[in-house]
Amino acid sequence: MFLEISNLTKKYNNKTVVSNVSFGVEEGELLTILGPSGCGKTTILKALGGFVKSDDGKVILDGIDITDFPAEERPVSTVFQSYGLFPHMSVIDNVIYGLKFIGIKRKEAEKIGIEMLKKVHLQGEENKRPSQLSGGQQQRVAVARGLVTRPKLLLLDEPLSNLDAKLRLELRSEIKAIQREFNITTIFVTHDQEEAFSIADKIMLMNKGELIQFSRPRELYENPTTKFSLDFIGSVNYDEKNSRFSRLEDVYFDDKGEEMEVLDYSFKGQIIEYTLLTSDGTTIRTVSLNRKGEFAVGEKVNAIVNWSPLDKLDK
Amino acid sequence: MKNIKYIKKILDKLLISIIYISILVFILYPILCVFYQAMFIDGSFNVNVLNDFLINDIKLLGNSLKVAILSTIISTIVAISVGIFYLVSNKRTRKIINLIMMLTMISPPFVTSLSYINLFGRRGFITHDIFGLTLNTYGMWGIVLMQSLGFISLNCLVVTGSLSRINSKIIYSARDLGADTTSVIKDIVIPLLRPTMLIIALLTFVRSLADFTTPAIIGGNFNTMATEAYLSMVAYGDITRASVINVVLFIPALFVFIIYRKNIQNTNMNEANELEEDILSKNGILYQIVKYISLIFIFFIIIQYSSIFISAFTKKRMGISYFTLKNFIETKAYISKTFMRSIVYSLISGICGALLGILIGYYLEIRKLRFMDFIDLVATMPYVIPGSFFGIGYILAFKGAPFFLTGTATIVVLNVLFKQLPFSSKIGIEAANQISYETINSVKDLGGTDFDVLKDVVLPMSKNNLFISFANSFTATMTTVGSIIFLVYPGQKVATLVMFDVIQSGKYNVGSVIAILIILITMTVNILFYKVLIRREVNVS
Repeated sequence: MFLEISNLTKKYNNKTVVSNVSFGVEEGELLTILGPSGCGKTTILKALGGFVKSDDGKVILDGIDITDFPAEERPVSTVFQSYGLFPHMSVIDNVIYGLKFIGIKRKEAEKIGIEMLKKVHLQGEENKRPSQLSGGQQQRVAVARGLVTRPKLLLLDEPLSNLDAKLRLELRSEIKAIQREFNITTIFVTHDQEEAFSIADKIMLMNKGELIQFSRPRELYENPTTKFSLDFIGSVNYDEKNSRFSRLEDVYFDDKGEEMEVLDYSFKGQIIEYTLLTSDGTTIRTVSLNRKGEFAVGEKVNAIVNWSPLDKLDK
Repeated sequence: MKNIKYIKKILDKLLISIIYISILVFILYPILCVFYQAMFIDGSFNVNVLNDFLINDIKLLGNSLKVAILSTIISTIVAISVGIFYLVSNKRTRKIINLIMMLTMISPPFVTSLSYINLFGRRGFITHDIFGLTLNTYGMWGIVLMQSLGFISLNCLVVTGSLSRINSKIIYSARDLGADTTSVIKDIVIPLLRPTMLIIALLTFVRSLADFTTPAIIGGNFNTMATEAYLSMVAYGDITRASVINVVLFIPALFVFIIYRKNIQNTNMNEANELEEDILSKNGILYQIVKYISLIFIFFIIIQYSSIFISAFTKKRMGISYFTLKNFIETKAYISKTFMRSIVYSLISGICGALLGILIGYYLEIRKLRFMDFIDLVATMPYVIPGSFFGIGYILAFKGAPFFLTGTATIVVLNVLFKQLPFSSKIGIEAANQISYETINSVKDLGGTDFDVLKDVVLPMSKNNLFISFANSFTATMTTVGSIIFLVYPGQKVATLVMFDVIQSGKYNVGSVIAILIILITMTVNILFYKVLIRREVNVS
């Protein structure tokens, strides 16, 4: 493994925020750490960046144990949620700041910086101050600044959360493209599962400081190993009486199916979500694409439900 | 129902009038009076006295500038160093620095001079008792050192305030890119502190120019413009000359005022956070430098307060010091009613100042009344104008009809109240800015008037700010000297003035006792209000 974290533990005032977490990332891979707020994901990032000292555990990057290295000596770059740009420096000075610590002369550094800015589509903005840029542009400067020193590991802490929805989509694919181009090992922290699914090679799901599931995105969705994974990711119908569950897309209208009554429906643009009542009194939800022939509330319909057993899940 | 609404409207108008009139009458008018006194004789424009001063006493101007420049440089550099040391330090060290800053903030301004005499004077503990020297240490360097020491804490408070407005992620980013502590301080912290440095340097410069107590106590033969103005007033009763000197002192103050107003608007943007710990590692040459500067500063402060403490509890017989409570008994004669008077004045100024501050905040930020900007501008002026300028202004403005306030307690209370108003109005403006327009519009939406907004939303929501404002004004009034020294009649002295008098007449032990008593009172009030504030915050959450 290119990056190997073993038994990472961090306590604040006797409260364990990261508990005995171990995982690994291959070179060039993009790992997303996903979880609700307070699950410990940002603390892991801080521990990797060298900004908090872990109470236990080891971090090995490219064969070197960096556990006790201070932030300034780690070949790791972080892009913070609030970007942390230097407000008193121009864009280019921000981008090339890290180069002076690896002994690159100003002239050479500027050349590299301008190249880097081109890659993030910011040519021509070199001499502006960060405050003169839009949120998306500031984000790009932060990424460029992080990449310019060619770190071995790039850490992104909810980098898109301060942007509006449309820009978020745009920058998400840009980040992915840059990550591929540089083939840089990346850890991307988010609480947004859609974001995680669309960008990650692998997802690490966390809750209350513990690692819940570590798998490829599709696997996480289709084969949740715990109740928490099942609940947190996507939407789900429960049939507690028979101890089973189904995803919304596992319920579909079919004449051969069981008869149910439409309790409610909500129009969501491309899709319509229905709430159905089965003959034994269970309510289940399903979605169908917005095509002709929607059902009305109170109407009888036939639907098939593909149930999965709950008892194979942990907790 | 209609009647009540009408009454509320009248009340609102009444409050507005009170603010407008009181600030114009009690701040702007006295300032104009000093200018008039300095530049008009018998009603016609005449700058002979001013010319005379500039020609004959140019040396005083030079002395003042020398002292002010040196004090500014020293106290700015030390304050920035202590601020950076604070940033790098852990919680415990920060607590100690906070405690020291608080202690000096609640002490009368010339406590430093008193301890200087105790330690380095003709019979000083260090120079005379330890080294057996009888030195004349009175002079320029004594003034510079003591002024600097006095200004450092206040400046340092401004610096740590600015540091807490820096997003810690900026510092993390720099480290992340390979910057060590020295580089972070050099490339990030100091450049970001530049506007703050300008502000503290300018304020120190103006305060040093205006300070007459330090040179009066330890200046010896070395006179400055401020002491000359003070002496003109007290020794020769020459109010025109005193006005002229103060007008000259006012010019740099005005300049500083303009820059201060501009900068304060820029710095209020970011929210303050508690500074994170372990944000920088404790190494590198710059860290070592700021550490040693800070340690020397802390050492000086400790020595300073110990010396006052020792001097309050000891007396000398045949050159040997012994423990005694006699100083306290002796002090009784000087302070019979003074302390009660000081406390009452401070309470009035604290309460009225806090309320007036909130009202200014409300009418300026929420109601956005016409001319309120100008009123706020005037209300901030006492922050930079010399205290003695303000005091002389009060004598000139309120001696005749319709006021006849000379020699009354009212003039003293009014003076301290309006002198401290800039702090209160700043806090009031901050309080008003914390209230959202939705909340205010909700009151109106439900049928409330502007007066109801003030009564039901602004005042209750500003309670914490009112407390802070009160504690600030109380402390400032308890420790003030400059502006009231000419206003108080001999029978009505307040504690700081008595302290100033006894020190000038050489009764240093009594001075130390009074200093300790003043510190104890301000400390009690501050701790009390801090506790109330904490409890309120706990109850809220």
